[in-house]
Amino acid sequence: MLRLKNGRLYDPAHGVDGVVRDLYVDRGRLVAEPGPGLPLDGEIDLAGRIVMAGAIDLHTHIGGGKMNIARALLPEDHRRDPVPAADGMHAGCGHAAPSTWTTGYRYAEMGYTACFEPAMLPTNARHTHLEMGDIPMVDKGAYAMLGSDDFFLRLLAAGSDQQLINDYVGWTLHASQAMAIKVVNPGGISAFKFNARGLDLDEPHPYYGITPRKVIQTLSRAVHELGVAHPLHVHASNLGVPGNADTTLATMAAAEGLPIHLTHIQFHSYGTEGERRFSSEAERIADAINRMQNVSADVGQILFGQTVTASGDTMKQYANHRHAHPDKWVVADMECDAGCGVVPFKYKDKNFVNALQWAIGLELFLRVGDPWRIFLTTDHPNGAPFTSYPHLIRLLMDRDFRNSKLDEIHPDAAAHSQLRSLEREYSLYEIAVMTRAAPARSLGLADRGHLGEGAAADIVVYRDEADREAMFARPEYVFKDGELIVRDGRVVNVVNGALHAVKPEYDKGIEQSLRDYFERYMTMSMEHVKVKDDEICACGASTLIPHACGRRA
Amino acid sequence: MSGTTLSLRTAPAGRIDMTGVLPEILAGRTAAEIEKMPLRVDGVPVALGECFAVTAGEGEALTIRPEGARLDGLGRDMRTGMLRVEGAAGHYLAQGMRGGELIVDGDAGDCAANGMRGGCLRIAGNAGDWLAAALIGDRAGMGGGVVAVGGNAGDRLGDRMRRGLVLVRGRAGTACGARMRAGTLVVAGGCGTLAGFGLRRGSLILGQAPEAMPACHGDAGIVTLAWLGLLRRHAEAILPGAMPDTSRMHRYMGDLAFGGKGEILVP
Repeated sequence: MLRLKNGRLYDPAHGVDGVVRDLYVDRGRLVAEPGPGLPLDGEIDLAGRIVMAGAIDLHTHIGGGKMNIARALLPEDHRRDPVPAADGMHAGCGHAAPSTWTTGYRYAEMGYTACFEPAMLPTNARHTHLEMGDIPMVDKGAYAMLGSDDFFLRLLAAGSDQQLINDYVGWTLHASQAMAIKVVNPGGISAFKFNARGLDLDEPHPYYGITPRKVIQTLSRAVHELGVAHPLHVHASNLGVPGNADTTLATMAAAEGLPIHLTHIQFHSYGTEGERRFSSEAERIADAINRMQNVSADVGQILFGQTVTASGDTMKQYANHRHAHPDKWVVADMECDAGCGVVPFKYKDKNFVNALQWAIGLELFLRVGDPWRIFLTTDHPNGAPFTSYPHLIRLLMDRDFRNSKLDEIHPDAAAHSQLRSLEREYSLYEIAVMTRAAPARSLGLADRGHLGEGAAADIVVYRDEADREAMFARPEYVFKDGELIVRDGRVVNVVNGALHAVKPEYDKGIEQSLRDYFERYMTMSMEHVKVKDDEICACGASTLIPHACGRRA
Repeated sequence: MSGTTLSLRTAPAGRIDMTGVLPEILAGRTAAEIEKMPLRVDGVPVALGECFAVTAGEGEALTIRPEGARLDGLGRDMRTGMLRVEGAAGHYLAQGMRGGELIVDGDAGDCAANGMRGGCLRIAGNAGDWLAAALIGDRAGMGGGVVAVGGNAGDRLGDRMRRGLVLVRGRAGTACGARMRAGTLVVAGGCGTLAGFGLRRGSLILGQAPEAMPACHGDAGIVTLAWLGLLRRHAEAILPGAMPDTSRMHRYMGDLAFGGKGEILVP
């Protein structure tokens, strides 16, 4: 048994805000104080240190076909950030699209112990699991992408029963070993293949005739009824289009009160005011989130510099390709079921649009009052590489620092934005909410993201430094399942994380129609698409952690 | 006035990455400072002094004695000065070189002069594959400068080359000048199959005709080109015997599948 004594705990799941308390770790779990007489194997004095649960990133593109394309597309980015082998760690490369190993090491070195890949195409699930299995240190999970696949759109167009849709969604979650369901540009990826260059929320699909609103309604209901903890994860229509805030608000309403998670909402909070016809609608979006308790969002903050955008949204990535920097890009179809668009991008602080995007993201963070419903992401790597999280945390916690950065951006964008008038500074407690407790609760991870008895001993210890960027970049200790894995911001022990997946109940009768469909239209048979439980460890994960779902009427 | 000298103590089992050991960086440093510089042996950081005996000298001149060790990345990103390798060089020699002079007394490994932009690289022995080609993943190969090879060159010589001059006194392997965009490639001993495959522009001057001309290159007849005389005068000053002694050559235009603006000249 290990005692971590005198640390100052931030554990929002239990309302603990900076209380000095001892923690006891035994066999990978946090346990109650054992009382006198029980011998301790070790003890670390954490006086003056800040202790939190391991951080959880619920939206980060770390695996799947698009990341391999992104890596192949950016040799020059890799060349500038080589990572040599050291201390039992594999060599690799870093920056915008790091190699799998480097992804795991760098996440752990920032105190992250779980990461969720938000865009796994079910037919591509095996590849995604193999790739995530190669990412060491952290727990992983993935969201299966539905909403532009032919089988689903046919069901919808035929006016199928919700029960049948639920079975298909349930089957998909099992077959792809997924943690949640994501929809990307609902129906739009499919519409792109019918020559549409946009598909608004209430616009009928040019072939199937269904609307994105119908897709969201049906899928959010399916996810809810199956009892999946994480709400439908929505990448809304009209990403990046000026004036898309109206679509975003309508999308929130489309869930009709059911839980809905809007991802990288920064890219969906744009207006059309001003000379350049591009303005911030962060206030309106944030007000709506504050008002609608069923809505949660992650921000998808952009930070300046070179990165690469990788998305299933072929329609919008095709529209963005002319901004590619360096000038090379890939937009591809996958199995006629979804898409993949990879466009390298450089966000510049002297560019009006980029500068305003930066301010919009920060405005959203500061205007949404409830940190339980807004999550800290950069939509890695789309807004910025995940390694910039400590910088982002400092922007949120340090108003003077934020204003000094505001002075550096395009002056018109700074003038357009109300960021300077926002005085809010995030507290350590709020940071612990949005990076630990809230994502764990949203994903239904009962034993992660908190420091209560019985929780997995994923623990991070920071020095209390005035410079929050330095503090969050180099934790003093990181424990994963009770093992010390990082010391002073460097990996000291390479471990392998588990894979989380939900296991909802559904009627297996759906397999009959699916088998016929796969035989007729797909390049793989249905049996080959299914990733079995015993494959998960063969893919590289330490273990599969199944999450049961309580069916809801 | 002699420059700095690095002599290998004993050859390590692995390959040594010499990135950063450049005349311009070592100039003005004492032996003790140079010994502290980091190197990587098979990816593991090692102090330079553990591998090499250092004699500090003056000016931007550096001599490296590899003594049989495999030294990769010699002269990578070199900008000025003079670097002499008294022996063989490993892979990635003169990658991204921008200026100065680099002389290798022995052979060089694969991927030498990838993405080179300027300066002069001389290899007395043979060069490996992908000489003067693109850096891995890049769209354009060598973009300037001069490479002179006394011996033979491997496969894919000048792949995607964009500018500059490569002189080879011996033979080249297969796919010589493949996907070239521009620049001049002179190979006295001729080359293997697939010469000029995907050639867009640029000149491939062969001292001996290949066994068969590639199908996508059209016969443009025998021509007298005055610039060949000028090039020969220029080339003889760099590497005597590389350039054929004639201005009359048989010209093939190609690759016709890629616009056909390039040329292969054979005697």
